[in-house]
Amino acid sequence: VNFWLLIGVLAVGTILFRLGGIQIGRRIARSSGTVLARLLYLAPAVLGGLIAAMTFTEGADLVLDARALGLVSAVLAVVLRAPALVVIGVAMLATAASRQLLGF
Amino acid sequence: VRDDGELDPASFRRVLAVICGTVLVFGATYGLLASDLGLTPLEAIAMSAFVMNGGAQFAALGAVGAGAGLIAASLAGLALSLRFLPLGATAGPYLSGGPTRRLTQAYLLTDQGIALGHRHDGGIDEGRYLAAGFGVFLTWMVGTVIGVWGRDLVGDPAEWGLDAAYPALFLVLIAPRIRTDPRARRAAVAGGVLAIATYPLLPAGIPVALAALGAIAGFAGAGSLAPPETDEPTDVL
Repeated sequence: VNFWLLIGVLAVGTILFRLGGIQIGRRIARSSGTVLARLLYLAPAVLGGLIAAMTFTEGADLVLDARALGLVSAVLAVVLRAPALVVIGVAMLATAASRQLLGF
Repeated sequence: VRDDGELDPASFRRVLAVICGTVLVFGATYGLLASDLGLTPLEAIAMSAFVMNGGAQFAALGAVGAGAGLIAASLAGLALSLRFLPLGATAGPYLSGGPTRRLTQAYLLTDQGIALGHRHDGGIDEGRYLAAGFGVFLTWMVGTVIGVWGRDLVGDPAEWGLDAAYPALFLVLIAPRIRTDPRARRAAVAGGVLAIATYPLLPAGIPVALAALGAIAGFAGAGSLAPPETDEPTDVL
């Protein structure tokens, strides 16, 4: 594989997706208030997708491992209204600990 | 913490510092992987500078490591950049300025910037979006350099549970809206379910982009589209 070509393709494609997304958002904002109100639900949807994918997948497979315990702990911390840093710390600690102690 | 549930500047800086720490470690992991696969230091660093998307870089190099050619590796990487279309669309209406400025705003578009810039009313705070994007850029570059040259400094991020940091962060940042707006809650759940349900069927990266369709579950159905007033002080940070 020619790495410079790979870098070029990825760089151009990625900036075009970034610019294109922003452009779509701006156009929608100018044209229609209703559609703009609907755009508000894109971020939670994509972030929800990222949370799920980053927790329950490994390579090409769906998995249930230590990260699931981390996420459950994070949910509990959020429900208890813990500060953000505590939530992140609890998730990391629960994940690292269940890896170390349970080998899970 | 402000009464309206928004991040105050001090909390924002603290969270951003933690995020930058994790980006540093993942950058170093990437630099290590890149040099293991035979990229020269210049190629590895240039890839981080020009692509600036860890997911795409890991996916493309992972494909190369698994024997993929240029086209397959490019597609694997680009699939991971596809989510910038919906993420960019959420930010677009709230970013100011002309074409030159827009290029900077686009280059600094990151998951972290969208999450940290996410306002309680569903909009994007441009200052936080740009600051987070810039912090991610800076630490991603430094992390890459450390990984390329400082092999012995890098351990296994999984050992410290670093891979659990992002899901937790994203959760924290959408929590105020999820608490007060049932539509946002439906959108987030639908996005998660869509990503998982399609994950075994589709190439990497596509499921998370598809999760954007979860927004439909948010705005379809009964009720007003305007974000509801906060009925209680949300004390997330």
